[in-house]
Amino acid sequence: MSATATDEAEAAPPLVVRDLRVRFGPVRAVDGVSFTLPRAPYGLGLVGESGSGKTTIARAIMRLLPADGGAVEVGGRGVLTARGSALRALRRQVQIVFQDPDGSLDPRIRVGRAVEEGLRAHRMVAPAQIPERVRALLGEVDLDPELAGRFPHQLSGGQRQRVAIARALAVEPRVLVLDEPTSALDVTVQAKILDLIARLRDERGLAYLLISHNLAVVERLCEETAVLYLGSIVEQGPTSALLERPAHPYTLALRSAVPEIDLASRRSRLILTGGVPDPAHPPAGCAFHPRCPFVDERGRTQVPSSREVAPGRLAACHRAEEMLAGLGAPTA
Amino acid sequence: MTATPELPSARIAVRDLHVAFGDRTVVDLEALELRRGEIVGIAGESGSGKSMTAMAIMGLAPALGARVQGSVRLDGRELIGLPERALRDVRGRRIAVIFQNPVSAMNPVFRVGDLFVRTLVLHGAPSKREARASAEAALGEVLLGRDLLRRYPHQLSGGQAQRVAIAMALALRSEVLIADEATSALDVTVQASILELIRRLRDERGVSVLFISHDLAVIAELCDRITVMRAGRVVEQGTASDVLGDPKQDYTRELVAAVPKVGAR
Repeated sequence: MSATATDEAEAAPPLVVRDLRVRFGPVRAVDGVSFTLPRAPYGLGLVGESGSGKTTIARAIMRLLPADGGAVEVGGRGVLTARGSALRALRRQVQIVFQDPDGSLDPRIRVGRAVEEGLRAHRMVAPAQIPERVRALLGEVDLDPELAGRFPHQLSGGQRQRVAIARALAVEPRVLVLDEPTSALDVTVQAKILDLIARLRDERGLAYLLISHNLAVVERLCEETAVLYLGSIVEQGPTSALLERPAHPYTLALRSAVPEIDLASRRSRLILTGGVPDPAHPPAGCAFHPRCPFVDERGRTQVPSSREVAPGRLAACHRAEEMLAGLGAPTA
Repeated sequence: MTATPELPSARIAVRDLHVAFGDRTVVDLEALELRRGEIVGIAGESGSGKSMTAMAIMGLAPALGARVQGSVRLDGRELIGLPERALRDVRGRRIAVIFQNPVSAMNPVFRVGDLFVRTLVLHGAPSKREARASAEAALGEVLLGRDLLRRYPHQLSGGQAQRVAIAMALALRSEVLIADEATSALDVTVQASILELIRRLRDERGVSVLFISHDLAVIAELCDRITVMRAGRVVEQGTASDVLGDPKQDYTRELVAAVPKVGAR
């Protein structure tokens, strides 16, 4: 690669997703999703109920399943059409940390070897320097480098998740996908892993997608959040503004369903009736309308287009402006 | 130790419960009480003994190979040491339990309606027709349509399955509901509706609920009193607002502080 090409890659956003589409038979699992990680460090949260398409988006970006349309660029290079050595290079640049490290760490391979694999495969350092680099990586995620000789089952769940993070970072990815990284952990362990991600994010300048059902986790780690419903982004914007005053009734419902430990911050609750509709037969009009407490005639018949409803905020709701003006806000 | 006098309204009273596997003690609980119409939470992390406490209360711990000592009384009647047949009747009818994955507790070859009928007839419904009628009524109470009776368990969503399990408890007129991580696998929106349903059962039917969860925020929202457990022992007990609003023990403080909160930054 020439020097100019490298500079261009450095200047391009870490990740651009444009009109991404993934179908499973009749189901539009991802139906025209677009977003950008504009720079690093930067976190974009993907939230939504099961079946909303969060994980499918991540898998399509990583080419773990085929997309049916749209474009994905990592550092300015197209991912969906890449082949051969270009695809190999791109695979290094997007790394994922799963919810369950037990599913991603081979039980027969010592954790030091697991971290080492990527270093070797992508020739990150000279072979002689590998042991030193593995120790450094384990140290970076606050693990005793002596643990390199252990098998995964000899570590705690939190330690295994640290290994998974070290392994992802070993190949110096441009983009990190964190798929429910703390959901399987006890709350005290979760808090420490969140601290670790926050620290690494600043130290390493990480750009990441964080998939989570936990809005508080997303708020802690992400500048921006995209709310997904039935494969589409229904609202997107700066995380704190979006949670403070949702422009889409679905965001409001998600927000108000979060249980609060602090009695003082408890809000009036908006409970949705019914479940997520059958994705093979989405409702006419707005896909959310059968569950929407603020549905009107437009919602029943017209698909709302996503538009900028406030600086930096996109929403696909006919009544988004009314929402921002206080519709749905607690009256008390 | 002098025996703590039992409150007359205690539906379930646990005293000096000791559960061990071999020489490893997993639960060592001095006292736990569940009164009529009360929701009591047991909070703790993995290995705290919270689920094993529930298993011991239901008399299921010995079947897992545990040695259980102490006293568990339901309306004053001792359950520990009861023969299996008597216990099965208590479990089936008076104490209902819902787990994280209710589908795994349902026989997959029967439709939901047949599961209801079999269970209700087993526990004394006079006829299949009456069993079916009370199944329909119970489903209505948990806001499910009667068409669900024709489905197989695997055709239910997570929220529907949990509602069906609760409807079963309603149809059996169970007085106690033990919920073990019952909403942990659900989306927050569905979780909120199930919590609302549990609250209604308590308010309208006077059902007593023992709600076991790792999620302190859910416990804070739902429970009147809570017990925080760690490594088989009680760390702190009291009203939910006292324990979580003003924890006295370092461990409880650590737990409360570790819960991520929306709007914290």
